[in-house]
Parts: sequence; structure tokens; C-alpha cells
Amino acid sequence: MKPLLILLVFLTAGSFSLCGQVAGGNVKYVGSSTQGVITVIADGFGKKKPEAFDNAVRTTFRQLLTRGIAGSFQYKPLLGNKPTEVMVKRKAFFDAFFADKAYNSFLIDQGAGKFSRKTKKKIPNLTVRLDINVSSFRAYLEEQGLVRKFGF
Amino acid sequence: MRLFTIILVALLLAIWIPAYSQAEATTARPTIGPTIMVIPFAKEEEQLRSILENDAALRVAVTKVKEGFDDRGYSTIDFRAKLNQLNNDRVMEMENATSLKQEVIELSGADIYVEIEVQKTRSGSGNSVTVVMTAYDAYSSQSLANKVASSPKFYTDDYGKLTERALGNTVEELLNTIQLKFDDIVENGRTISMSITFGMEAEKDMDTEVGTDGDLLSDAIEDWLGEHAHGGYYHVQGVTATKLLVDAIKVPLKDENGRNFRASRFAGQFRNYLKALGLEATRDVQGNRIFITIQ
Repeated sequence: MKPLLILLVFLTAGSFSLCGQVAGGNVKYVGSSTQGVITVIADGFGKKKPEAFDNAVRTTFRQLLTRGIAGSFQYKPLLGNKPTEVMVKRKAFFDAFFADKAYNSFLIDQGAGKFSRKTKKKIPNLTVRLDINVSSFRAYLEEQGLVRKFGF
Repeated sequence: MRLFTIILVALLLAIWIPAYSQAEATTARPTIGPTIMVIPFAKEEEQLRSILENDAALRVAVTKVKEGFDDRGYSTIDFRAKLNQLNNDRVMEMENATSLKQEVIELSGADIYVEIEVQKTRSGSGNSVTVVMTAYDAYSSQSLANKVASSPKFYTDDYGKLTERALGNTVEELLNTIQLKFDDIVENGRTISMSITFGMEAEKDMDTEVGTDGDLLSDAIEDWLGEHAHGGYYHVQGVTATKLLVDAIKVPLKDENGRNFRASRFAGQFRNYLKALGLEATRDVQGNRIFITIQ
């Protein structure tokens, strides 16, 4: 009985972690029409459209900073080799960056699909298309001392 | 009066401390700018100048890569200008193309050079271009970044346009990879190499017992390297009775005073160690390569 219980706990935990991954939102690379700009499609969750839109943008920027956008020229994290370390070290900066929605200034174009009010937790309420000026975002991070300027 | 002084000091500290912390965050480790040169790839016996001058697509590729560095606020050494500068004296006398390339790199003082190759493909279904980019550390010859970019096939003979199309954002990828290597260097130190040999008249060799423990000279040197290399990292390529080749020694990027750590300083420290063992030695330093000759 006991091993069965343990197995059940593990399976439940596993399914929860999978749910978490999906709910985190997907960010897919679409292309790069202009030099230094990345176009992505991202999923957003929220009760209202602006909330879901903001969620998608935040997810995209977090991914860009800590994971990079697969398939794009910025396929490695913008924050370098140890992104998590930088995020923890400069927590105050990132808290303010996301709270003040400073990321919006690096969006050069945006568009949203149809907002779905009733949806399951793992299905996004909104899909957005974002054009991000990665070059100027990097320059901003360099200016703030979060990313090293080109050189040693 | 005393209370007033305490309040004044507290106020001054309150103003000064955050300002200092902010300054520390951004200027704790100022970036050192390595010198970079973008050069065309040349096969043996090919002349660098003629390759570049006869191939418009290659010139486009070289310029696009330089443009990428410019966009990051980084100026490169102009290869053609450097070639022109050297043209008047020794370079024209050289016959071997590989030597010429090496000469240009060494005389330019570039820390890093990026080699560019453009391959053109003609076919019935259209023409295309492949650009191969490789960045090297000029002193250690370590490869820093490698990228290949290809254009789609088009019915055109404008290889310059095809090259531009092929490169797209790949230059950005190349720079990102180089920067990651730079970050690694900042954290783990630079790589230098050292060759230790003996003079013609030397009476000792690597198998000579030295010090109070009677260790072989080669073992004593390895122990010293283990203690003085950054993070204790070094790699011995090979050792014989007359030669010890260390192809990689990690040294910090900066010294304790925040100045650039130079290979000559490491060579000086090593020479002092040999002196303490009762050995006289001369040293030559070329970039990141140290040559020690024990007399």
C-alpha cells in the first residue's frame, strides 16, 4: 500500500510540474525582418485582455533574458552564461523593470489575436505577436550594468 | 551640537553610500577592449590583397562583419589599411601567403582576428552563397566562435546581395558567441602558453634534482604552476629531458591593483622561482606566449 501511495504522490507531482510548464506560456520565434529585431508569437493568460497581453509580454522578456529565443539570433540568454545568478543578484532592478513595464519601450510592434474569456488553465486566453528590438534592449542592459559590454 | 554632528554624518553617509553602491555595480569591472581585425580567408600561396580586391562578395562579407562590431560600439582594425601600411616595408618582400597573414596579424597587434570565407555555388536552379566565419584568439590560436551562413538560391549573379542575404543576423550570433567566450575569460582567466628549454651550454636538464626535497626540475615546475596558475589550471603538452611545453596556463585578467595582468609578469614570477632554485634563465614574451631558456 505504501509504495503505491508514494508512486501516486510522484505521479501527481509530475503532472503538476507539467501543468506549470504549459501555464508558463509558449514563446515561438517567427522571424527577423529587420536587423536586431526579433518577431515572436507568445501565449498570455489573464482574466481580461490587457492582463493576458501583459502576461505574454512578460513571459517573452523573461525568456529572452534567461533562456533566449530558440531559432533566433538571440538563441542564448541575454544575461550571459549565468542568467539566474544575475536575476537574483539584481532582483531590485528586475522587480522594478517588470513592475514599471519598462519592457514596453523595446516593443516596436505588437498585435493580439482574439481574446478567449472562458478557457482551461493550460489553454492561453490570448496569443500575441511581438516585434522586440533586441539590439536596443541589450544596449539598455549594458548601460544598467547587467550585461557586460563587448570585450573582456 | 554633538547630536547635530551625528545627524550630519548620517545624512552624508545616506547620500554617499547608495551613490557608491550604484557606481560599484556598473564600474566594478570595466570592460577591456580587445583589438579585433577582420581578414579574408586565404589558401596557401594565395595573396590576401588580391583575394580581397578581386572578390566583391568577400568585401561585402568583411564589411558586414565589421559593421556588426561597429553596431556594438566596437571599432576594428582595418585590414586593408594595415596592409597598405605594411606594404611599404617588409610585407612585399614576403612570398609565402600564410606567413604574410601571420605577419599582418602580429604586426597589427590584434588580440582577436575573424577570418571570413565566401563560397559561391552556381546551379541550374539558382545561385547561392555560403559564408564561413571563424574568430580566433591571435595569441593562443584558440577558436572563439564559428558560424556558417547560407543564402537561399536566386537567379542572380549579384553575389554581393546574396552574401548580404546569407549573413542576415548571423553576425549578431557570432558576436554573441564571442561575448560568451569573453565572459568565460573574465571568470576563468586568460590562457597563456609557456615553453621551457635549455641553452646550448646548460649543464642541467628537466631530470635534474632541485630543491630540498630532491624533486625533478620538471615536477618542481609543475608544482609551481599548480600553485600560481589561476584556479590551479594548467596543461602540459609534453615533457622531455630538454624541453617542457605548457600549452595552457590560466592567468587572471587583472592583477590585485585592477590593472591588466600581463604575460610578462607571469614570466617574471617564474624566472624568480627558477632563481630561487639556483637556475639562471632568460625569458622572451610574445603576446601570450612565454619562452624561457634556462642557462
